[in-house]
Amino acid sequence: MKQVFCYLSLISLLFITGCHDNTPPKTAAPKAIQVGIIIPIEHPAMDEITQGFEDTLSANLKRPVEFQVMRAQGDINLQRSMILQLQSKNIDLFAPIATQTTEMTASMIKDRPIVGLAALLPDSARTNSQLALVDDEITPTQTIQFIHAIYPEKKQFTIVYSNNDKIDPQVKEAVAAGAALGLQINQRMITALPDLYSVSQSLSPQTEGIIVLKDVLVVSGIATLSKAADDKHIPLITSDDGSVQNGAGFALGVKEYQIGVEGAKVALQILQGTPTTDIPVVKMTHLSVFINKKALALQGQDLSAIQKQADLQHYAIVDVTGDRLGAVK
Amino acid sequence: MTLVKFEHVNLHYPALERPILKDINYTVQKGDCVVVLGANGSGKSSLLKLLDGRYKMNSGKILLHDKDIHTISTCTRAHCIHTLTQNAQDNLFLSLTIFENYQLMIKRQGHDPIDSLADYLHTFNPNLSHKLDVLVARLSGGEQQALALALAVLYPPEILLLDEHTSALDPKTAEHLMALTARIIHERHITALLTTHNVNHALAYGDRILALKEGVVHDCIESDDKKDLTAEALLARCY
Amino acid sequence: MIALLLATLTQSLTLIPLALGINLSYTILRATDMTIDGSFVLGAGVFAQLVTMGFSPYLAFAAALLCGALAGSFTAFLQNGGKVDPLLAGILSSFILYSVNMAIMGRPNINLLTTPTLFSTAFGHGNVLGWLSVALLIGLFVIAFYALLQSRLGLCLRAFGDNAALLSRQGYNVTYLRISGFGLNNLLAAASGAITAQIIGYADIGMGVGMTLVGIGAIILGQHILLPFIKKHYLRAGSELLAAFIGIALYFFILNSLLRLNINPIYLKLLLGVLLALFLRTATQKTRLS
Repeated sequence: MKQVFCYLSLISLLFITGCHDNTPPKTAAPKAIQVGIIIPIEHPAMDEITQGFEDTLSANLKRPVEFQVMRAQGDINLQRSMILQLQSKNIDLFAPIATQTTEMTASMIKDRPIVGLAALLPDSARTNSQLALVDDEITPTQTIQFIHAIYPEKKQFTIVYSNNDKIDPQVKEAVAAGAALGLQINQRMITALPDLYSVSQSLSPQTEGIIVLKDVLVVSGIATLSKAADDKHIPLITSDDGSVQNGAGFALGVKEYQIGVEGAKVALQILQGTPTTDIPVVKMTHLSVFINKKALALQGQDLSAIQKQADLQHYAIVDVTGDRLGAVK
Repeated sequence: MTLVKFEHVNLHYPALERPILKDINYTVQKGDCVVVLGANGSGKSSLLKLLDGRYKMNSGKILLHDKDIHTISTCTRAHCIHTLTQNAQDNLFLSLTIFENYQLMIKRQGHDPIDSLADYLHTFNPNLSHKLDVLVARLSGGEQQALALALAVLYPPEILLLDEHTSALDPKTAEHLMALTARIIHERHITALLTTHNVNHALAYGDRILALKEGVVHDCIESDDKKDLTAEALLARCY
Repeated sequence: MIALLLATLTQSLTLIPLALGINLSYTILRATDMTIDGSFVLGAGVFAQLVTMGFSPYLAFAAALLCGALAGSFTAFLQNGGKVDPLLAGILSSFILYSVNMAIMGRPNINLLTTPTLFSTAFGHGNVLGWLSVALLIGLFVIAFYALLQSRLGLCLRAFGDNAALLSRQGYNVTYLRISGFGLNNLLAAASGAITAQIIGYADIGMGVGMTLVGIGAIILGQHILLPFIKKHYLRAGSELLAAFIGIALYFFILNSLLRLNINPIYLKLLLGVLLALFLRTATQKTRLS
């Protein structure tokens, strides 16, 4: 009996989905532009990008627009299913977030435009599909140069990073950039979060600042480094706003929201008829300096030097002080 | 002709104080059917396991054809010694069919297949002959042991080790299988070492009897002495 | 509706070699081989790296298969002498493979969007031709696998899974059999990885996560549904293959269906799990009754 029920349920699932597929969504006005956003994994940064994209596109598009947001929960099979599902609907534009999501979309969707957000792909990858790209990469060199501009008198820094192969070349670049400016950058690698405490306790006494790149593992334990920086009265400099909220002094980075904004601008051009091949890869020019006034005070750092350099470079200053300890933005 | 010779064989588990086997000296002649008797834990099975390589002795020597058994390759040893135990899973591949078990047996021996497997199996157990495509796990205990015996002697090994191979069966089936086993090893001149708790079997089918007690040789009964023994007398001598 | 079935079909197709490999390890060798998570990525990574370096896709594919087989042999080697149990050996290997994959790929992600692949010419002539060429390659794997199951080696591998100790006492070389078995199943996983990379357009260091479990789930599902209907024993190899197809297709069918019902993906795995459990329970009851 149970078995009959089970097969029945399978058949009914088939029918429900079959019918469901054919009925157009009730909320959709007939002429609304359909945009499919694919989010590979749950992360606040992904939501910020999505928000920036949706806000900018809805505000500037003359026609109604409807967003279908797909969240793949870090499962590539699920992600593939979602792209196939979007493909079977009448989606006008795809907006995958992150590199591998963009690659998968570009590989599967050839006949509709795609705007890859925060996607690091070579220009050549764009030839077989209608792909436009927004590249969110800031080079470690930019970070090091900015730090040197603020603290021209400091000669020795320590970079703390995890043994992640994505980070490794960036660390090398940072060290090389430092050497070019006459800075000595000591490297301290961690393999797991608990290592962070011993690293924070064994920093060289000559170190005049701690640098952290966009390194998920280290950032997740930023409070440990923040404590060490407070004790030694040296600045803790990171590369994303989240770590500044949680106790780093300041960071040169990109507002995730801004990535979405840039992506929406590209999407607008495409929807107005510009072929994707005519749109160059968008680099992030609107860099922001995230500052945490409380942390800077604890670390004994002067805000004005940072402000002065940020103004000189035309970087926006974003104060995230009040958000410390997990306050929701 | 001497086939197997145990010389000062000792075996003990690290965890146990008492040795499993202590200073065993015994000679098996070709064509003998030696019955090993003894209480549970007396070391009967361990003696057989030393021969087929499942256990390794701590000291002493076992000679097979005057060669140290450790110097003989596992493959060669597998070809001349075959073991049957009371557990079907020690004798047969339970999730394979009768025919597949047969295929595995002939292939490792490098022999040609026999003309009719069904006819061959019929002499061991008539039920088997029409179940060639049935999983061994689905056979009854008696059928499994009969099949195991049939496959074991398909190309007779030099030594057949029978470790209480009938003890999991009902008395009637056990009796039948034991008689069948005895007939086959005599007909085919197979040397056999057989462990059992059944003194009647020991008297009826064994050429010689070796009694073990707490890991040492308690008694050796040669075929001449055996004739006059009653089951009760044997029981008294061996346990 | 047709879109749903097409999605199911195309997704299942690329994972069929993986399902065959898992069938080999789980059903025939009776060991849960977690190496597959790593060798799936290994196949994709080796293929992507070699074609990016300019080697022919055929050569790259062959190299990917070979590397998969080597990874499996390594897992088998770890187990030799029964010192490490198969599950642990597999977990160890997939651990090690993470670093190996990273070293081979040199970066976490290699894109194949414009690189020539085994199927790029066919897909250039249209999707139908493209998918036909994929199906052709998968078909070759299926035929080869079926032939293997029916061969002497196939029988020995089955016997190995049933009772390796007995096989060894019968004089077979179990070390050789273990290496062949684990080598083959990881070769198949690597094939699946390399094919998947060509379809989705990239090789990624994280693409293998959970593949083994999806595969095992799918195969158990397929077998529970199909095997009660198979009474004749000589149909076993064929029915195992069919069970792998049914299982993997049903898995993706349910996944795609739930997705189309607009179920929040957070609960998708929960629902998928409950549905699978429901199927398994009823199917088991049926086997018990018969």
